[in-house]
Amino acid sequence: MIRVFHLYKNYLPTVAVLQDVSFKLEAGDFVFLTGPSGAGKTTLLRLLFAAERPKSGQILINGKNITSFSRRRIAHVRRSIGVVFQDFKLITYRTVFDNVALVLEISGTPRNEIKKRVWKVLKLVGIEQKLYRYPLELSGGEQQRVAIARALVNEPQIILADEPTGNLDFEITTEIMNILNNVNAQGTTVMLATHNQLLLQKFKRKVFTLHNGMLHEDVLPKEDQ
Amino acid sequence: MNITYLYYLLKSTYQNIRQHLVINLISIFTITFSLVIFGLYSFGYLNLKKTLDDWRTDFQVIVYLQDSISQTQLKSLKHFCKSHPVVSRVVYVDKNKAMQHFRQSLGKDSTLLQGLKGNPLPASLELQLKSEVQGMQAVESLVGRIRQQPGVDELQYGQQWLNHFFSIMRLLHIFGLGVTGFLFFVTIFIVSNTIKLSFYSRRDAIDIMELVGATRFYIAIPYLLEGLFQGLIASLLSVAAVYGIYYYLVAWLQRSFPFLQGMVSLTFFTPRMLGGFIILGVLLGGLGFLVSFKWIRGN
Repeated sequence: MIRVFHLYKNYLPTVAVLQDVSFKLEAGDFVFLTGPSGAGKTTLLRLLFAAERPKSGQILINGKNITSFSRRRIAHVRRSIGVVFQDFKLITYRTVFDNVALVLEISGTPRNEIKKRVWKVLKLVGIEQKLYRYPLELSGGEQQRVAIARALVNEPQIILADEPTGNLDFEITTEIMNILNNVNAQGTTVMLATHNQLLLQKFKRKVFTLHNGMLHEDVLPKEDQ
Repeated sequence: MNITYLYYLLKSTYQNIRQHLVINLISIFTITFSLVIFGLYSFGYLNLKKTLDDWRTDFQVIVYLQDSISQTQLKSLKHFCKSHPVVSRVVYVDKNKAMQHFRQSLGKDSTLLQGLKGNPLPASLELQLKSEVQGMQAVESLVGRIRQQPGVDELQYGQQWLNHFFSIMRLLHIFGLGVTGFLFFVTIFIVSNTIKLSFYSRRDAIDIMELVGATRFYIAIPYLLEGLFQGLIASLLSVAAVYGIYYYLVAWLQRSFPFLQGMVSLTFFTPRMLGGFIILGVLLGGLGFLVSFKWIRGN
């Protein structure tokens, strides 16, 4: 599903954000990506959905090395990856329906099909009654559900979530984790970046820890142990 | 591209316009303003050129004939003049007609001619030139060749006036080209800057669309359509504005300068010109988009 080989990323010539990161994720895996702030969690996720290019190394999604892809091919790869952001990244002048439908419109899905699928996914995340509201009329938790619905609506094989519960209280965090767990139970690979230790303790999953740009599997960050 | 995809692009365009109504109105106002200035300039240029062309139509080369000219020579001279490429019309004025015209032009004073014995006025050929004639050279070549024909006494053609006329026309063309080019670039500059502003205000939305897998094409087309739409509305508004100005100008001229009636007549654009003007507006909107999109991609 995802294979990463010897990945390096620098923002400044002397400051390495990621150093020799390699790992593999199979279909149906659920992994937490953790580490202190600035450890490179967001950078790693951005590399996985090709928002940035690495200094060196390879990222294989379903056997294809996306680091050498053109813009056009990257756009197509992103349609097979659902991404959830901490700041939701919803288009404020589009309704909940239109925000979620956007992903399907981009790939030219027929309108009737879009209506059915958007309704189904909004029901799954429990926000179907706010179909025609605008994002700024919703609470943080509701906005994050919409963002998750948008990530799920295309039935992607991979979900990448960057601190999806970062600004939310524990009750809503649990609800969002349950949604992601259910999706994962149906075979979707999930990689969730978080520095919330309570989350790691409550939901026992495989953990990747980033420290000084290096990735360690199944290890909790030192300062939190 | 299938119909469904086209529908989504149009829907996205509509949402963009509806959501950013103020920016759209500013863009439309900017393009309208530029087009009105351009339209007024074109209107002035068109009417000035028409007036000058009208004057040129009145311009004649008069060939005075010797009294001794034979019928064969006259026939051959007429044929020579008619077949010359710069001549559009040849009118023969015989001695009697010349006298008749002279009497008419004197009006009440024609009694002065009562004591005159015989008819001292020469017969003549009045040559009208084609409106395509652009320089003195063609006229001088014609005059030179007529002068060599037998039976020709004298030629009159207002050389100095014609020289001025062609100089003015040349200046008008050069100035017109310069001003048109300048206005065109200024308009594109203003329009592209307005669209840049509009891009800035939607940068987040564009980023989000890219992150969820939209291609550049999918993102750009609604903005291009928006630019074309702005251009279309602006050109229609500017045509209406220029027409309004034309309408009131004509009414004002008639009211304030009634003696000018018949001497100066203002013309509005022909339907073909109007079509061109509207297409120009639409293209300006599109071009403004392309310039700013290229800039956005570079950033």
